[in-house]
Formats: sequence, structure tokens, C-alpha cells
Amino acid sequence: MTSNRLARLLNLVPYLVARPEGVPIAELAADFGVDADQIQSDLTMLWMCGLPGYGPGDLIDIAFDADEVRVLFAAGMDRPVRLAAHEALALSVALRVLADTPGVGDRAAIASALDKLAAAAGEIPADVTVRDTVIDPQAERYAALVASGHAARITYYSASRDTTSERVVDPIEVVAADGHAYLRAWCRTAGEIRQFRIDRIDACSELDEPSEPLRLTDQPAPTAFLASELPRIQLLLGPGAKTVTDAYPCDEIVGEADGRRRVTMRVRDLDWARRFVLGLGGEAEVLAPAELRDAVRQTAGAALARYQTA
Amino acid sequence: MSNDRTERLVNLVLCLLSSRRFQTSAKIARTVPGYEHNHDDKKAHDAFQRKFERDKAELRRIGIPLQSGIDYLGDGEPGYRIARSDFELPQIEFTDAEAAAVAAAARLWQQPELQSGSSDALRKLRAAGIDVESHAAASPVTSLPGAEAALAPFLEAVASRRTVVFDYFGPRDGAAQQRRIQPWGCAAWRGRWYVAGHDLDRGAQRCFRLSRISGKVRLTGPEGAFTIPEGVDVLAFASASEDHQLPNRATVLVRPKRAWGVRRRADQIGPRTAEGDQACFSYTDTAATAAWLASFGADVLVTAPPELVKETIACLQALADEKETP
Repeated sequence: MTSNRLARLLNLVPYLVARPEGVPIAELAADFGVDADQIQSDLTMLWMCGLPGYGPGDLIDIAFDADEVRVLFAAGMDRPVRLAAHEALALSVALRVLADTPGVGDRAAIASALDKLAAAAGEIPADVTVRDTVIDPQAERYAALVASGHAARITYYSASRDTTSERVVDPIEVVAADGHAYLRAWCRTAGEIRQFRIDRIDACSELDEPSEPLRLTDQPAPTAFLASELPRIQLLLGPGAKTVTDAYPCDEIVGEADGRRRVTMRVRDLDWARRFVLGLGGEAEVLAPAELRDAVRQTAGAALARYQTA
Repeated sequence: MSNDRTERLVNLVLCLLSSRRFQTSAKIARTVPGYEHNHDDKKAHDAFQRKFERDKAELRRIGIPLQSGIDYLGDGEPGYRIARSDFELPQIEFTDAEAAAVAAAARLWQQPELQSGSSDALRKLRAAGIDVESHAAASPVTSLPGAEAALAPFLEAVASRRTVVFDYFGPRDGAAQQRRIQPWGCAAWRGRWYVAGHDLDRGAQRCFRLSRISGKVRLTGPEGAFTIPEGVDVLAFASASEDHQLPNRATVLVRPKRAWGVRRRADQIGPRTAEGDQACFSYTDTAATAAWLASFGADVLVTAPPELVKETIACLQALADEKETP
């Protein structure tokens, strides 16, 4: 924490040098991400630092007038410290991810920004390659749809329900995760924001009306989607189902003595839950409700019967 | 860090920056407030030496390089200085488009270390009068390959050439196993992060997917413990580690107008039989594919290959064997 303070102190002086007209304390505090009291005590400490000799003409001199701060003598600290390795790395890796993502505006600008950062940091000590962040060739098309500002009619395959449906959506953005690209949009049919995996959009036509994803602020959330009214299920998860708790919001996760985990979660409806449990391939045991447990058992039993007669 | 130490470090930086000449530790001790001690008192002098070493390490950590050398006018004792050209952020200017790209990049991270790394970098740029955030435009695409908590420690370990220890769930491991590696580099491929390096226990090069790491990644041992072989291509390791399984072909029978997910995946929908339409597709992971097929219940019947049939039946048996509701 305090090394953050050292970095901040070394940054404060050049920051003020670059703004000779003065900066209000509140603005300084906001820019440095700390409160005004902290900035005050930082400035007070800087006041006591300076060049060997440490006489009146050697110490950093800072003026406060009418809540504005100006530096009068910087003791040779006119420029900020060059980017530390981890700082340059955090930015340059993120820039590489951007450069590798379809639909991100100006590739040439990203590349030249990377070069300039590398020059400003000296050596960037760990090389990081980013490739094929999104392998979906359609991602560019949906990024263009977002940029057009129009609503669209899409035909979408829902894997969790195994059905295809048509709906009108107000696109918000394209997001990439786990190698897939998703269209985040306000779904007028569902009345909420949904993410549509782009490779599951079977057809898309741009409409002549504007995309208005903010319609969600105009109207109260439909009560049907209040979490407290959704059915609650309880599962016992084996070690093979470890990604479930990362991928789905859970109300409660309790570790059992045998290494399994007892998980309580809200689901949209029990038919969704039935498919979900079946897809975990026996790694999940349904504890509640009994209705779900029976549905899973019956579906699996009916499927097994086909293999026995086949 | 105490107030005293912070103040001492600021003064140390200003002192070392103020002169081009190398300054001996004895001179620094006499000059910089907070280091003063009786040079002849061995205990006090040792304490000073330790303090000074820690301070130098702290400065290096935040990106301030200390040069050491011997001042040609001095008494032959080694000394220290900070070269202004190493210390200062060089003059840098961004076009509006570049500034917008940097601002968008800084917003990508959700993982705390990387997030603070990029916001600290922006703060330095701002101190140099460059405000990239005022150029931030709404980017139509926001993206980050699974911001893995393990990425920051690996990047640090690669940069400092330190050994790392972590628990890893290999694709075929039932439980996490401890691994010790000398990391060579990280890469993102198909939206996932990987690290490649020399596995000390297996005595061979290995590649790890960061999302399979369980718990914390710990750096151990000294810095500079190894050298990274020339021309290491982490991306090639990553793609090789995922692609080594040859795809299998599955054949399943799908009931008419049902199991649309299987139909969409199929590259071939064959003749309709009494039991349904015959669909074929390629897959690599038998267990995952069997679980997925089981989710369609009686709407699909897997007919080939035998290991996929067997695995699907095993899934269904596990699901059907649940105790009946009392």
C-alpha cells in the first residue's frame, strides 16, 4: 500500500509541474484516486523533502491558494518516473487483446500506440502473444450492426432450450469471452438484456428503426424476472462439475465432507434445469425439488430404454 | 511503509538524481535524512546497510533503476546514481486515435493487479500532461480472454525469471497436482490464457491453461534463476497442447423435429430410419460430448463409435439411478 504512496508522491510533483496554472485539491484527489485528506498529507510530506542541504531553497515548494495547488520548486522532479515493467505490461497486453479482436476500430492506431508505449517503458520484460481471441468470422458483421445504431430481427438458437426463435433486439455491444463472440442486446421479447452467441444466430436483418437499449430504464423490470420469484434448486456437485459455480450465479455453496459441493441456485424454470442437470453427465445429483429429481430420472430412464431395445 | 521511510525514499531519489556523480553509501548516509548513524558503531552500520539495501530494492520495484559504479574523482569506493534518462518518462505524444486505444486497453482488465498496473501507468502519463481518458470513446467491442487471476503472477515471474509453484487440474487429472515450473512466457489463444515453461519435476517443457489452475500461484526462489531459451513460441505450445487429440466421428439418430442442437452441429444429416434422422459430427472430448448428448434425453440415440455409446449410457445410468422420491 505505502509503496503506492511513494509512487504517488513521485508522480504528484511532475503532475503539478505540467499544470502551472494550479489544480484544485478535489481534482488532484480524484485524479490520484485518494481522498482530499490523503492528498493534503502527501503534499505536506513533499514539502519536507528536497535536495541535499535541505535548506529553504532546496526543499520542494508548493503553494496553496484558494484551494488550488501549484508547485513553485520541483527539486529536479520535472517528469514522471518511466513506466515500471508491470505497468507497461498491463497496458501492452490489453492493447494486444484489442488488436486481436474483430470490430475494434483503428488497428493502425493500436499498433503505433503499442510501439510508443514500448519506447516509453524501455524494455517490456515478458513477451505476450495474443491470437484468435475470437474465431467467429461473423463478429465483424455484428460489430458493424452495433455501430449502425439500428435494431435488428434475429433468428436465434437457444442451446439451453434446444429451440430456435425469432426476436427483435436493440444491440448494445459485441463482447468476447472463451473464444466466442456474443452480441449483448436488449431483447424486446424477453424484456431484458441478453447475450446472444454469434455462432448461434442463424439469421439477422437490420431494421430501419433505431436501437434503443435504454428502453429498460423507461419501464420497471417485469416482475416475472425478479430473482426471488424464480424456482430454487439444490444440487450436489461432484468434482467433474467444478465449472458450474464459476459459470452460474449461486445463492449458496457448501463443501461436503466427501469433497462434493452442495449448491443452491435460482433457475429460470424447471425445464431449463432438467436439461442443465442432464448435461452435467451424472456429475450432479438433484437434492431439491423432488419434481426436478423425478424429471431428470424419467428423461434418463426413457433414453436408456432406447439403448436396451436397440 | 512508515511515513519516515517514504520521506527518506523521496529524499534518496532526489539526492541520487541531483548529481551525475556516483555517490558512495557513506556519503548517502551522511546526506539523506533518515540514514544518519555512527559509522564506527558496527551494529548501527549494519542496520544502515540493511535499510539501504531494502530501499534500493523498493526503488527498483517501482521502476527506478539505480546505477552503481565508481566515481573517478572519489576514493575508489563504489557508489550509486540515478541516470535521468533511465528515470524519466521519455517525451511521448499520442494521436487522438492512439490515446483512445490506450484508454480502451486500460479498461479491459478486471483482475486487480493488472487493473492497478494499467491505472498507475495512466496516472504517470497524466502527470506528463497526457490525458488519454478524455479521448476514451465507447468502443463497440469489449473483450478480454477470461481475465485469469493467475496471469499477473506469471507475468511477474517471467519478467524476473523466478520459479513458480501452483496446483493444476490437468484435463485427465482427478485431483489437482502441485507443479513447479520455470515460466518462459504467456499467450492468449482462442480466448484462453496459457503459460509455457520448463517443468522442474518432469524435467521437460510443458504448457498449462491458466483456467485449470486451482488456488494461488506462488513465486519462489531467487530472481534470474533461469534463462528463457531463444525463440520460444508459447502460442505454438498452447495450440499443440489443445490440438493433440484427433477428432472422432460421432453418429447419432435424432427424432424428427427434435434435438435441434445436434442437428445444427451435424455436418451431415443422413437418411431417415424408423428411429430418426442419422446425424454425423466431429468431436474430440468423449466425456463432454457424451454429457451433452445425454441432455437431449430420448430424442437422440448414439450409434457410433462404441466408446461414445458406452460413455453416454454411463451418463444416463448415473442420472437415472437417482433415488426415488420417498
